Formats: sequence, structure tokens, C-alpha cells
Amino acid sequence: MSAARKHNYDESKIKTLSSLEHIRKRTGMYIGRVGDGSHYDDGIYVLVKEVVDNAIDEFIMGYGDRVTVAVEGTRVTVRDYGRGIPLGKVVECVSRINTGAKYNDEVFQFSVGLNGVGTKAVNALSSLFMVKSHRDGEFASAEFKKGKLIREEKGRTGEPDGTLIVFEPDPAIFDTIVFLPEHLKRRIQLYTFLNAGLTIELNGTAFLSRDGLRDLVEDEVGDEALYPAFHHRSKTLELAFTHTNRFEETFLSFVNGQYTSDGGTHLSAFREGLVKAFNEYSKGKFEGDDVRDGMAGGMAIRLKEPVFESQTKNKLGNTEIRGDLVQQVREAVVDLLHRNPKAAEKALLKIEETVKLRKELQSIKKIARERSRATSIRVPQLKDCKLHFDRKAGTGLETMLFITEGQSAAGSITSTRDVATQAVFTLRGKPLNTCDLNRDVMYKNEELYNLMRSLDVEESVERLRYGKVILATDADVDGLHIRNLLLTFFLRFFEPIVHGGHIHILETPLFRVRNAKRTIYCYSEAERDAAVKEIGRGAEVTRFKGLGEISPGEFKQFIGPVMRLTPVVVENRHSIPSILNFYMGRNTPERRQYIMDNLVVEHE
Amino acid sequence: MSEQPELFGGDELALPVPVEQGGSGGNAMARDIGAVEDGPLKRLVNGNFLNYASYVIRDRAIPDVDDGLKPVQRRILHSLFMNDDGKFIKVANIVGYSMQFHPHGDASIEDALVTLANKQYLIEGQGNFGSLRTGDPAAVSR
Repeated sequence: MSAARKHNYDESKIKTLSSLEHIRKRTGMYIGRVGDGSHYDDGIYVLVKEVVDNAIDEFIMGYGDRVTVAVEGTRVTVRDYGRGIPLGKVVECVSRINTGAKYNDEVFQFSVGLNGVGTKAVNALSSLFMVKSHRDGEFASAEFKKGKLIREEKGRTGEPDGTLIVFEPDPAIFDTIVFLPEHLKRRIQLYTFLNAGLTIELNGTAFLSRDGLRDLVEDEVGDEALYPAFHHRSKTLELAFTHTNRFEETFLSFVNGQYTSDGGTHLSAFREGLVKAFNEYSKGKFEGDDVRDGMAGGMAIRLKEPVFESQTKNKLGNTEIRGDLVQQVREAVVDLLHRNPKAAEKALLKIEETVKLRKELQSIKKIARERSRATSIRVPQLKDCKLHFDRKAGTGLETMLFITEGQSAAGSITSTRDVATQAVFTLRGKPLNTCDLNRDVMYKNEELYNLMRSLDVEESVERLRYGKVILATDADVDGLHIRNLLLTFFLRFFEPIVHGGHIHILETPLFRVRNAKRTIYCYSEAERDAAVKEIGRGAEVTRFKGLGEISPGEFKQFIGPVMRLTPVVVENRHSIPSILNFYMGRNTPERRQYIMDNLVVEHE
Repeated sequence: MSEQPELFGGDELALPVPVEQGGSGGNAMARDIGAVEDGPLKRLVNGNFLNYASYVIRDRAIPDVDDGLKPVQRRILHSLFMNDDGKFIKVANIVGYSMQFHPHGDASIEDALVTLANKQYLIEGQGNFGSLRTGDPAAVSR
């Protein structure tokens, strides 16, 4: 039965938007997410990128070796010292879509911005946009508001050749416009790594890289490199890499200076070429993952006609270049290995260690799995909750796991918790110090193995089952020690969980001061003294030495909605190995001296 | 098989000193914590560490220079002194009494007491106190 429904869909409903209207209406298509400036990929940074990309393209063609960028408040100024836009077409180049010189190979090769769209989008999305091109002592400038031309000027000038662009993102499109210095700095840094020899000044600070991708890799890796990075540079291919003791591989890939965060053909060619090269050099049969474990590297290619998977250019799609590229990479890397035998040896050592570790891990995993199947499927130390955190679905953020010091503490929490969202895991005394141990310890130590299984992070950190992992140790010094031991465990093997903001510390009261009428819980001695004054005579002071001394009924308020949680925050991830090694490692003499110099003396 | 000639003579170019393999990132970094920049993690770990280490050194593991006793031992001897009536006292009673002064578990107090008795340090023990040399444990205190 199909009765025709009344509708209004006729010719009058079809519209054609001008390119300017289209950019302002479908912003995402041109610049990706709009955002508010807090993320690296937010719209306002893409605006800066489009303009700076054009300045860099001049450098690539060999004109100008300096670019200045200034960001003040919401105003962005970019000046390059290249050839300058041809004076007769200045207005069209920045406002008529699909207009540009990058369709012409003579004038521009290997450029990223090729669709003739970039600067127009910036213009259309800015409340104020000004372009001034200088050529041979003459200039032509134009000013726009929200993409509409309001003034043009021509004349003579003493300034050097090049183009100046000033723009302010339009608040009508971007709700919040806040440029975070660290995102700007990172982008500028990447530009310099990819264009060695180009100086970029950002708000007065100059950035310059001489060794290009080698500098990039060394910046990324810091002290963790096992040997000085290998570096190869040719006209169309540049690569650099080294090994570290990290647990994953980190690769940054670029095409014509554009960072391809999702990789693509070139990245997979690089990864494959590396493995082939190592196998050829060592006459071995290593597997990809073994060669690349712990590797940090960067690769940049220059391609005449790159095909990206979207205007935001995150992934390269030219499949036809793959075969050749693998060949090129392989040859370059084999050459590097032969020229630097000492470093090559260190790399091979690392690879062999990875292979050994993996084999050991496999056999231990097998044993552990059989063992766990034999005893019981459920983890005895875990009192689970009903709901769980599901990262993909985005549900269950309110679920939490309390890790307690012993059964005494666990008992109080278990009886008063919210069974839907709160789970408890009990440690038996002090956990193992994993600072100098490898991953296989998790399969040899039952407690850590069970903790890992309770969190379900054995395969991947993405499967974490709880929104918050809370260290609920007693409020005494042994509790502090256990916190350090647990932090060492997480930072050593599951660093992403810490960076994800999932680890918290539960603060429980040290004292209870009460009389017949009022009860005050105090978290420090200072608070206790204040409370005693407040309550006056007849104040009864109880010291809670452990969580087990707090009655279940009382405990409920400490893990309820007003729970006092302190998140564990890491600001500088490069400092983690140093911190862990110093406080929890094998350097006893230095630590001993440090304790003596910094002894904490309590005044009773 | 011929020796591969030493290219670039010895350690390559003037590049940063490669860190030794083995250990988590190399012990070279563990030397000076003052060089590590301050941050929330460092403050947290540092605070926890110093509080724990200071407590253990001052109030647990190191004997005092005045009387050669660790805190737990002093408290045990004090309890014995307070309860002294010339007769034998049950271990469990002393351990329980000491817990007023010593805010930790009874197992640790009992172990300390057994060790003192085995070293015959002002205490005479009646019954199986185990052996320091063979490591046999003491009998259960009833």
C-alpha cells in the first residue's frame, strides 16, 4: 500500500552556494574540526598551517630562507621572503577558489597545497584578512572582511620581495579562539625539521634545524636512544630512525612537508623497507614487529602529485609508488647499516633481545594461561562491580577500582560500596618493585598478573575496564611506599593509563575528632588541631592507622560522591625514566646520600 | 673472513653519547635527581619516598645510638618493665600490651620479641623460641 504523502520538495528548494558561502557553511570539509584551540588539530591551527604552507613552498622552490610568524591574541601575521604573489593576481589568488599557481609544474613542484583552496578558506573564515605582495620594489595589497573584498591598494615599497598575510579568525565561525603556545611551537618545530636550513621565527624565537629528520627523531626520543640515529637524505626521500627501550614503535611520516597522522603508502613502505634491509644486512629472518619494537623514526617524501584521502591530508593514498619506495628505503638503510657498523651492531643486539623476550614471553604466557584455567577463572583478589568502562562506546566512565593494601581495608570498602560502579582489588602487603624488571615478571608474579587481568590490559590499554583506578592505601608511611610501588608498576608497563588520567589517589582521614554532638574528620595534624579547638572540651580524638580502623558505616561517605581523589598527573613524560630509576632503582649510594640530605623529621 | 676496517676511526662523529643497553634506560640517569625538572609526578614520588624512607630509618630499622635499640624493641622492653612481677608472662600478653605504643601489626612485634629472647638480651624465654642459626620459627604463642 503506497499512498503518496504530501511533500514540498520542488525546484525552489535547490540552491547553489557561492564558494565563499560553501566554505562558511561546510567548514569541516575544508579545515576539519572547528574545535576551540585546545587540540593540536583544531581549526584555527589549520588556518595558520594553510598560510605557512604557502610560505614554506617558496623555500622549497629555493626562494627565501626565512619566514616570520607572529601570533598576538587572535591576530596571526605571516611574512615570507620568497618571490611574492604576482601583483596582478593578488586578489584572485586569495579569494577565487580553484585559482593558484600550483597547477603549473614549472613554478611549483612538490607542493602540498595543490587544490587551490587553502588560503581562500582562511580568507573566508576570517573576520579580517589582509594580503600584501612585494615584488621588485612594488607592492599590491588587499583587505577582506569575512571573505568580502573591502579595499585594494598598489604602490612602491622598499621592502624585500615576498608575501605578507595577516588574518583574524572569525568569531562567528570559531566560538573560542585561543592559540596555545605549545601547539604553535610544535607545528613550527615540525616545519623546521622537515625543511632543514629554513629559519622560522615564532613571536621572536627563531627555530632552525640543520639535520632535519635526525633532529626530529632525537627531539622525540631524548635520552632514550640506544645509539645515534641513522639518517639518510636525498632529493625525494629523507629518513631517520633509532631504537629505544620503549615498548612500542613510534613513526612520524610526512609528504611534501605535510604531517600525515594516519600514515599511508609511504609509511607502510618505510616499515617494510626497514625490515627487508635489516634482514639483508644481517642475513637473518627477522619479523617486522621484532625489528621495529622500540623503534622511533621519521620519514619524509617529496611527491609530484600526492593523492590524499581528504582535504585535511592525514593519509597518503598513492598506491603506485609503494614498490619503488620499498626498494629505495631498503637500499638506503642497508647502506646506512654498512657505514655505521657500531650502531648497526647495537640495533641488531636490540632486535635479538626483542626476539628472545618475545619467545620467553610466549612460553610463560602459555604456562600462566594454563595455570589460571586450572585453578579458577575468576580473580580471587577482585570484588568486581556490575558496570564497566568501555572506551569505544564511551560508557562507564564513573566506574572505579580501589586497590587496597590488605584484607582489613578491603573489608570496609567492600561492605559499603556502590556495587554497580565500585570494585575492589586487594594486595597482600607490598607489591613487587618492577622498576628494573621486564614484562615477563607479570606472568611470574601472581599478584601483578591478577591485577593486570582485573584491569584487562594484558592485550591492550584500550580495554581498561574502569574509568578510574584508585590507589586506596592506608594513610601511613607504608601506604605511601605502596603508592610509589604501584606507580612504578603502572608507569613502567602501562604508561598510557597514567597519561589518560585514570590513576587517582584516595585521601582518607587520619583523625576523627568528635563529641556527643559533632564529628569532624581530619586529613592532617593541622586539621586535627583546628578541629580540637573547634569542638572544645570533651573532644575525643581517634587516630586511624589504617583503612580497616574506619567502620564500614563511616566509610561510606569517604567513597561516596564527595570522595577526595587526587589525580596523578604527569607533565613531562621524558622525565619518567629518570624519576623511576632514582627513587626505585638500583642506585643505593646516591639514594642514601639523598635521604641523609633531605631527611624528614616530624616534630611530635 | 676479513676484518671490517674501522670507518670514521673509533666512536663515530661528535654525536651524543649512546646510553648503555640493559636496565630501564640506563643507570647514568639515576645519578642526580636534582637535574630532573620539577613537576607533579616528581613531587608526588619524592614526597612519598622521603616520608617513607625517613620513617623507616628513624623509627624502624636503625638502632638508636643511645641504647642500641630499634623502636619496636624499646617498646617491648618497656612493656615488660611495666608488667614485671617477677613471674613469667605470656608472649601474647606482652605483644598485646605493646600495641598501645607500637601502632603496627602483632606479627611484627612478636617476631621482634622472639629475636630479642634468642639473643638473650635481658629476656629469658620459656618454651620453643625457634633458632637464629637454623631459621626454625618459634612455637605459636598461646
